[in-house]
Amino acid sequence: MSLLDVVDIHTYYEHSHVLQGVSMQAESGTVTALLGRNGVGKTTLIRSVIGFTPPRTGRVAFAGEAIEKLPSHEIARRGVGLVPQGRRIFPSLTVRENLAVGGVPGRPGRWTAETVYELFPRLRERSGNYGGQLSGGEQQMLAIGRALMANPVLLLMDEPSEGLAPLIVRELEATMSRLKETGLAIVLVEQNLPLALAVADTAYIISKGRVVFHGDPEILRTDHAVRTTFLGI
Amino acid sequence: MGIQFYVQNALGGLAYGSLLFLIASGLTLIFGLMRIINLAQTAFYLLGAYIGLSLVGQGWNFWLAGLAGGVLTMALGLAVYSAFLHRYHADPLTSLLLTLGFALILDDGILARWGGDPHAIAPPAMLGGSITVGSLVFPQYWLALIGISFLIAAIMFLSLQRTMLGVIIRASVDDEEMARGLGVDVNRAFYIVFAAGALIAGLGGMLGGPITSAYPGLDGELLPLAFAVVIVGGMGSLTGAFVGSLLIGLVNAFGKAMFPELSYFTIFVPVALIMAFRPQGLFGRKL
Repeated sequence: MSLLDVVDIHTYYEHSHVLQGVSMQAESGTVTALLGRNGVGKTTLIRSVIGFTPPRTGRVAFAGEAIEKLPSHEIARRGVGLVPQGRRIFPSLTVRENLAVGGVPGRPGRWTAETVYELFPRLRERSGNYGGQLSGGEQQMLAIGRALMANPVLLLMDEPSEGLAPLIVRELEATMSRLKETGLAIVLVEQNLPLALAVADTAYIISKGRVVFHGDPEILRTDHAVRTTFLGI
Repeated sequence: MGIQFYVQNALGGLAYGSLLFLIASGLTLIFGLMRIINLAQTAFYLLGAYIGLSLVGQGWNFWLAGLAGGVLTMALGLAVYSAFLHRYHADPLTSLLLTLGFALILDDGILARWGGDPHAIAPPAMLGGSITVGSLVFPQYWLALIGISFLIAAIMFLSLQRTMLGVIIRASVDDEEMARGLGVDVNRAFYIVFAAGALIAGLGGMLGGPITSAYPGLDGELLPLAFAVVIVGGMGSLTGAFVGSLLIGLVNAFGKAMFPELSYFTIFVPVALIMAFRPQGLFGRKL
């Protein structure tokens, strides 16, 4: 049994049928990459799992229990962490307060404000600053730290490298590897293919709301046909 | 127009602004958090005033009567919220019509229970006198009301800035969906903010009563002023409600004294200016 088991979900925005029968799995201690061109439904898949846009049909099981009908805050409290697209830091909260909101589920574990500051020392220096005053890289650290505060067992990361300088992207890669070693399951939506291939243990390619490839990311490194057809590169 | 004119109207304006704050603070927080435009907010004020004056008529102490009026108004507000409104947050049009309906029902209920005559509300005996400074004479109660409103404002600020509930409310005003995604039960914060808004407005009815008195239709007169405060201060901003209330209170007092025939118009000069040059309000987030 997989930690996260998405079975044949169909998700709509109003009348637009975005996910047309997607199934995927994620396991503890691994990174699962979701790849594909813009607008194919990767973010919608993340939103379906966290409950922002619940699937109309299909199943989402987390740790063996159905979660597709639960409200988002219940899903989060069961151990699903979210690093959303665009980071969505609370601008009128300080760094410290942003982390405190992340800790609302009150799940015990290795992550506290103190251990998050050890992972990202820059956040300690900025702890009294408001979210709206941070640089892009600092916001990304905060978005990850905020999600870790709940001691999740599954971390959903939607385009974490977006808008970051190459040096910061390399740090992000190292951070993801460290998190993976702690046993965390990571589902990673990423446009930056080298980053995704460097950290992913398994990859899905989504095209027009369907999974069109599932397998070893190593194949994507070598198989140019698959890359050009589904990723456009 | 000597210094006396200015001091007198400044004090009167601050006192009136203080009672506006008790209405507008709830209005702005309820809108900022749940996107509900609560047209019943001034009806809550009026209900609190009538409950308070009935209790005073039965021999209750002014402060206890005001507090009881606030608590009963809060209970009614919570009943309305949990029975109807909670389904329509983030749906401004439906919630606007619903709260308008409740305002009308409350108005008619008040008319049926207390009749159409205006009721004066006397300030507590210990604050019933006037203060004389040279040729300047003003009611003691003005100062007391300003002091109480500032105290309530300070409590609200501290709760919002220094407590975990306040952090959660501010996070939810910033990005409600994200707060849910992090495990925050935002609905709980909604109930608390709606209840607090109704409590403070209901309490405000009695506290402001010695200035406004209580009569059917008072809520309709106060509502545009409360909205002027929210627009000038910025929707969702408590600081904005505070500054906006005092500003509108002062403009109202000086407008009435200097251009009595244009008194209602003067209120909307700052509103028009804000809408033209800073539509998000003085302290609101960019639209």
